[in-house]
Amino acid sequence: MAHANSTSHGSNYLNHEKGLWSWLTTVDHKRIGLMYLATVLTYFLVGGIFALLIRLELFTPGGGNLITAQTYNRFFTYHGAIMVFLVIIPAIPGSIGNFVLPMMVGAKDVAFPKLNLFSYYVYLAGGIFATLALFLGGADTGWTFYTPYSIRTSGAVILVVFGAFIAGFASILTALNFIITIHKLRAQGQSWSRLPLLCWSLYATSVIQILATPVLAITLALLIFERVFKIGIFDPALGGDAVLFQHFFWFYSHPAVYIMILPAMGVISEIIPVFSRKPIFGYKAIALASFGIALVAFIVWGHHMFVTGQSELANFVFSLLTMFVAVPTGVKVFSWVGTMYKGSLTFNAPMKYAMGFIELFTIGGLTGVFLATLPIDVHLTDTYFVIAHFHYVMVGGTIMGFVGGMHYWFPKVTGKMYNESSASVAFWLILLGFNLTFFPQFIAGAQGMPRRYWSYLPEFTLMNQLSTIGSWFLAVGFAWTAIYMIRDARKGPKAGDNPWGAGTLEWQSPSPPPHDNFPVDPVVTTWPYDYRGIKI
Amino acid sequence: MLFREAYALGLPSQGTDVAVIWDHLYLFLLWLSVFFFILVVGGMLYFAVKYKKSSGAKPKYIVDNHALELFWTIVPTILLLVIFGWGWSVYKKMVHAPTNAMEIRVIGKQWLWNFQYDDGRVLTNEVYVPQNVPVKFVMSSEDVIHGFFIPNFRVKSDVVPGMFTTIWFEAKQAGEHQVFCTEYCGASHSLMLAKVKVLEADKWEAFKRGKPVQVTGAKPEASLTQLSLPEQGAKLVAAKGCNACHNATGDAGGIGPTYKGLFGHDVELADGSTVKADENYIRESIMTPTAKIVKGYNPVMPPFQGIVNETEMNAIIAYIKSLQ
Repeated sequence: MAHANSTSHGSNYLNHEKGLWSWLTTVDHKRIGLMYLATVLTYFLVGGIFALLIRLELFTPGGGNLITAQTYNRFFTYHGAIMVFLVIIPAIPGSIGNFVLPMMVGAKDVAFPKLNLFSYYVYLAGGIFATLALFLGGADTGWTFYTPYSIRTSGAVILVVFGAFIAGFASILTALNFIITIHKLRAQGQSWSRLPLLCWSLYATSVIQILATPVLAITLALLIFERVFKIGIFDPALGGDAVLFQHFFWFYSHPAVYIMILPAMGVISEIIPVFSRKPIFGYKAIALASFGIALVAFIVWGHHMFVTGQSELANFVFSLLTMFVAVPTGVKVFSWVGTMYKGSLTFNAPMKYAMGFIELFTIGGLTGVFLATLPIDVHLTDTYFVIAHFHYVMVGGTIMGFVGGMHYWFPKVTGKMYNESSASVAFWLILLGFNLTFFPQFIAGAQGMPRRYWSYLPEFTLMNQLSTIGSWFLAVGFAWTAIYMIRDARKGPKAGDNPWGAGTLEWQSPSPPPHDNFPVDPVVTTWPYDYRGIKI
Repeated sequence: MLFREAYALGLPSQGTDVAVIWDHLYLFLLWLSVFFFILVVGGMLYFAVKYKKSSGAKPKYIVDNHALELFWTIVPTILLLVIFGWGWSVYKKMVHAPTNAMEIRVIGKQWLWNFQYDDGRVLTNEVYVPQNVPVKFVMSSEDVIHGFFIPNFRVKSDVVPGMFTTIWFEAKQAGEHQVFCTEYCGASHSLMLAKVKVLEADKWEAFKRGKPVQVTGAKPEASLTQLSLPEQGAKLVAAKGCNACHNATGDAGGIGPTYKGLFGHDVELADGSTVKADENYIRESIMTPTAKIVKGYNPVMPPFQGIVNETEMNAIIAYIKSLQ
């Protein structure tokens, strides 16, 4: 393994060129990663504000204490659409993936740097387009856009879906870049079996993005044909089939769920071995499980539709196939816990978030088995149980992985170290706030409280009030994280090149890395998860 | 029963035999999940304490263990197949109505439920059914997709325009059971509620003959004849689903205009003209609502021609008159 370079005090990617224009026109994957990060976090703030307003309205059972029903319906649509299409899908691949993946394979940049910048602007354009359509057109369909409601309501559904599609096109371009970078630009000596697990999971994610996103485009085209030429496709009033839209929608959006979670699993697979000082347990199984999940992702969309009047045979097949999602997922979780066995554990913020991920994702995964079981789903679907389930997976999983990754690579990105006790306070606020917000929703859902309700019956009051109070803890936790991260990026102590003693290539470069990533082209002589030769 | 009370955190009451077998499967999954949660998260926390970094200890170099990995792949697979099989057997009981089931047709529209009986009666937002008799709902929608959900019976189905879907149940508990709309259908989705009212055999016979019945467990209701005309109207607008869009508070922000201060005043219409809100205006607005659209509101109200009779119309008008 190449020797770690001593911290260079000279040129790095942050001061290589100066001025706003040099950022807006950069083709440096590290800068593009930071631009993605800033954009994703801006949308996260906007989507989060809508979430807080929704929870505030739900503090009391009768509707209308804060906002009218129509406003409420728009707010949950804004919240869902922004968080899914503009935050969770691009969050980890766009920011962490862009920054880290080329360095992990020892490359100077991604395979097509200009395409990478282009894909950022495509994402930005799609985001602005969708946001304008949401606010100006006033979509109130929910992020799922189900027909025929979405055809009949006055909102700008086609424009919103178009925005989501543009943003999806950006993911296709990023995915292509990642796949080709992994295939073509790996450092000398980095065989496939030495590829870091984050790269494996981003690879699997990229495959899904390339194959699934076009279906969203087809759906969009059909919606436009229906609206413009009055061809009956989804609207029964024109002779169409209302449920067909759901098939198309979930054929994209179910794989999209794995687009959202797989990168976070990759981040967790990097963090746990480093802070256990022990190799990742079952490297091959974890890498294979990513592809197992990616494969199954395409053949389980019907489990969103168990009560839509879909045939019993279809329900039988989709329920059975969905059960198999739990197998590779379980393998990953067991392997992460197994990695900690007989390690030498330290609990810096990244490790805290990784363990928080395991706690929340386990609950999210186990409740997924409830929903995969046909009769159980009949009662629970379209209730708050489903809301709780996917927030445990998407926020408890993806966002915990994302925030954990932000702490883990913080010293590499900024060259500074964040304050550990500040991070600890934020972590406990977020973990407790999250459980307080979403665990009561499982109970409300099992009791029968339907989702997307502006007004609810008094028997659900307690669970809703706990949930609303939890949302304030979450908000404070995230706000505090933003504050100390900005503070420490400017004024934190110098971090050193490899403060965690990690084995992947990005840590062999100075912090922050130079424009070309490595002063000398790295050569890989060992597996990235062997820490026996690394001193902290 | 004690088992259920203590462990079935938050489940609704068991209104049918299907609900009982549903709860068995749910509780099995719940406790299996608790087991796996303790195994994974408990194991993680145990390791966190036991293998916390200490000066003397060196981490052990372990890369994998094929036997263990095979074990934690195969055992969950078998468990999941068992869960699937158990689920399928419950599901079949849940969706296959006995052939002798009594049929009632359900029509969903924004934002109320109509129940259509064999004898031609149509009830809104309430449906009376006999106890211990299998009942099948044949459901369709007049506009967008709705969802029909009775938590106490553990049954739910979307109600889809352009096709029929069905649910069935054999109610064991006399009394009222809540119905929710579970597929988002627009502004008043959360107010699209109804009640299934399960009647003992003798009350069911009375209901069939058109006699008023007292539902077990429900608050005794004054019969309509004991109420003043405006009070009758207030009950009717609640029962017919009018309150999903209209209110008596004077708040103009609803889906439809408020009742308060309407009668006798000028109403500005979408085409710019004005009309005085008298008896005939209110009748027309209920029977054929799209004839005159009030400025600032959308033409979304369904017609109530054939649903509201003359006696009821007079009561509703009297109610609106009383809200000045």
